[in-house]
Amino acid sequence: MYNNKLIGSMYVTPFIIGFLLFTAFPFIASFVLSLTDARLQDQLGAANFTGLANYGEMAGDATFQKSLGVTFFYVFVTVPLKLAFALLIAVILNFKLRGIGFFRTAFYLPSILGGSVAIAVVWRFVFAGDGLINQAFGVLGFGGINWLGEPDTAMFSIVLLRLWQFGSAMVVFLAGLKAIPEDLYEAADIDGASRFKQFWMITLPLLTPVLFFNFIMQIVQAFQEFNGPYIITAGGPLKSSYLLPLMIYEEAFKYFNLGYSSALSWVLFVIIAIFTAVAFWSQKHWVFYAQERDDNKGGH
Amino acid sequence: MGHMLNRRHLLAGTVAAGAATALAGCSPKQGASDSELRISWWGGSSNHRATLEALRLFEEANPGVRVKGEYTGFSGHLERLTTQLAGDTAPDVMQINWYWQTLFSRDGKGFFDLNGLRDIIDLSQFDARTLQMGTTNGHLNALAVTNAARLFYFNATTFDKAGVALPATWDELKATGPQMHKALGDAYYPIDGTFQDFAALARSYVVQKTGKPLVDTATKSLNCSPEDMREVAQLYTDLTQGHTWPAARVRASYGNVPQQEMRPWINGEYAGTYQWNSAIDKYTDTLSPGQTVKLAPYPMRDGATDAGLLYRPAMLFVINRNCKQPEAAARLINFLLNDPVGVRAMGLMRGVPVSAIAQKTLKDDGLLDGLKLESEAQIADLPKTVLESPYFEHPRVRDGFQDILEGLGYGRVSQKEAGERLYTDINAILHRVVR
Repeated sequence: MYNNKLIGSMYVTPFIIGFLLFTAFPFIASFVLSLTDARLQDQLGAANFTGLANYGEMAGDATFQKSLGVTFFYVFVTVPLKLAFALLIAVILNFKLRGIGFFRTAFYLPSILGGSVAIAVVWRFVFAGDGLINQAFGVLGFGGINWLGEPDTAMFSIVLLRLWQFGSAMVVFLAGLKAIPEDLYEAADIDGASRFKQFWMITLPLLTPVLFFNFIMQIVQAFQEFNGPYIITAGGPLKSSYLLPLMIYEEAFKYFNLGYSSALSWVLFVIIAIFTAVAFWSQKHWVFYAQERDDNKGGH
Repeated sequence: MGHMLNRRHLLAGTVAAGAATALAGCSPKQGASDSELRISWWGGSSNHRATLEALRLFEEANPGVRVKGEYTGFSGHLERLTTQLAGDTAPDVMQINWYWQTLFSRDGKGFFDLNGLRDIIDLSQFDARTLQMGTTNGHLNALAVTNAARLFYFNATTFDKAGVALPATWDELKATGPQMHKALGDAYYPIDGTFQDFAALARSYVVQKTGKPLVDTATKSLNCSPEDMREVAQLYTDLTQGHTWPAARVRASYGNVPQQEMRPWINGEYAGTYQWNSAIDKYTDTLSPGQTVKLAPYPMRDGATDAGLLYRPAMLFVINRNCKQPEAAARLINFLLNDPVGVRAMGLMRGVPVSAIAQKTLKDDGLLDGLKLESEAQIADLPKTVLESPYFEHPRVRDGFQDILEGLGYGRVSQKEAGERLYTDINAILHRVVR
């Protein structure tokens, strides 16, 4: 009597509508805009089709090239450091210790607070010339560091904000560690393998699917970092923390250059897509899935 | 089974109701009546309260007209308004900044021409200069709530502590740095500001020499010589190396934080600012107790015939060009700017009003005193015939000044190169942005 397909379709309708309106349409529209000289304050009808001119403009745009270099630096430094740190803490929190639940919660907390505006503001005060860190240095008898006033250290402060939010990657690593069968470690113990060798030969290979997942997520998030540089340094000094998402925002909402801003967004999208595609392509060389292990076992 | 079906009914009904609500929400006529006006502005909470009270009083005086206030802080307001104007959902009456006219009404047709509403709005309360600065191509687009100029304000408590007199000339200003440094140490500077603040100060310095606006819209270029821009670079070097103005590295060490929220300003170590008179309350409010801010005499170069004041409307009201009830919107603007009831409700929340009757009303009520009155008097006394182009405040021009001065401050470019680039790069930017 009831058409299950119809009712099922109604269940997914809100998502479909939301997806079409707020994801698919802006996605396509931004590409169309990237081929025009649209300005935010003008009616869209006033925009002229300019083909690939916006993309060509990037070749001579020193600010874009600086921003792109800074963005790559940020991603290449942040992602490996964050993955390594999250894995280290996950391994430590995997030990059977009294009160370990408390520590897991405590280490996860920063990720809940995460990259929020409030935390970025707090971060700015912590790293300011007269901030908490330099005050602590003073108490210990050291001179202060100009964290936000020097191009190198300003970027370092932004990187640290991202590292501080290692909790979500850590939880995923922890789940992966829990899934590794105990019998493998017992067999390694019997064979006399050291803890380090067990980690290297058992833990890490069996954790590669989780590592792969975390890698993809972190790459995507790092390329989209906005709050930190926007609130803490406004991209400075000397554009040393002027990440590409910040430039996209300023082109659209400060300079009203909607067409160019859309083109920049598409360049960022393509960069993320290339990194993701290369990661997926490379996984056959370094990611070890349990299903393959079982298949290999069967083969023997 | 019956239970499951009921739940399905409920869920399906919820989805349908949700979709219907969403669709209803898309209707532009949602809950609106012909007699409803919308007005938007930015400001702080006390400003919001005062404006909402003024709107309530307007509704009382105009039965049948409802006014909906849409208000935010300054941050993000332009982005919001831009999106509304692009999407044709902007309010009937909007508060804008002066240079936004160049963004939204380059030909003067972006907003309603208030000349056609002069029977309702008493334009005789505004001086010719104010009306001119709201006019583009003969269309009166915008009426200023207040006019503002950048003036020199100093923390008199710190100056007294250092035994240094408030500067009255450019040379005295430069000399206060070494004097205060000697008396109070490394942490103390007579004046502080962003690169944007310095660019405004340097503009005044140049205009006092040339007697012309710094930006010439007609030629899309700077109205000065390369030598004048070299003097700007020299001025920045003199002030920062003389410990008069904090060096780029020192300022940046506090991160992206407004000047009035910086600890050295709060405790009096940064003892001055070149700031809008309409905004000075924001700066005095954050000072720790026991400190006094005083207005300094405006420095003039030898032979200057104009102070080079960046004197312009700070907030302006405009009417949406697509407004369905321009007469009602005009009545609202007249009530807020010229009607003693509306003027008293708004008070000094947007600075000293520019309307003559509004000024008289507040003066009679004893509200104009102290720093506000002194600032108004100084502005009135200074020679100020030069009208600056709004393009001086264009974001790309501002950022152009910042990039070069920051490079100079960090030693990435020499003073000579900075002077040359201030001329060539800013001219290139003006050529690009002036339309």
